[in-house]
Amino acid sequence: MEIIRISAIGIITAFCVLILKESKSEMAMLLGIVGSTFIIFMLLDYISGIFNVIKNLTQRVGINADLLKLVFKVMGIGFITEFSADIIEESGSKSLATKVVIAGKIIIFAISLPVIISLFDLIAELMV
Amino acid sequence: MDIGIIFKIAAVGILTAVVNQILKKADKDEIATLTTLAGLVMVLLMVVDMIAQLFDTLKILFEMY
Repeated sequence: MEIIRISAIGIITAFCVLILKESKSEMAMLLGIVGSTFIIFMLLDYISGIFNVIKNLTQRVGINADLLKLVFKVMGIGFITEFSADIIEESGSKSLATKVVIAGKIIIFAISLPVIISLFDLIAELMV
Repeated sequence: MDIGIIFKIAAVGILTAVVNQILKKADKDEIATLTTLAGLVMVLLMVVDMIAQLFDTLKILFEMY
């Protein structure tokens, strides 16, 4: 059962981070990064399976492929932003974490602008 | 990519802390700083490699279509 292994790895890593925190806190941060990265690696198979199913579904329904690619891209940006912002905040630099989150929001907005513009065009066409 | 890497990093961390303490007590502060730095660089190399692998895989997973 994969979830048991993942939670066990999480608990053991948290324990090791606690051991290292008071003597070598920088090493503790790196260990935390390694632990979270490891857990994400274990999830990659499941994630790709889910994405394949979603891709097939949208192909069958007839949704534009570019649209789905944009949605996936936004999800990826969101995930990477949350991942790094959490690590940065846990190591104490809360201001840096906020800046990373702001960067993620702005980049997501910039990427979705073409879709918003075509939505406005569509509405304008309907109103003419 | 097995779970041993977590224990390896924890072991390097504890070892570095212990060696640091011993060398400080023996009045050799410069060697202590050097060993701390060496341990940090070692762990950093391992971690940077893992993070690069993770972000490459994420890039492929979320944006390839």
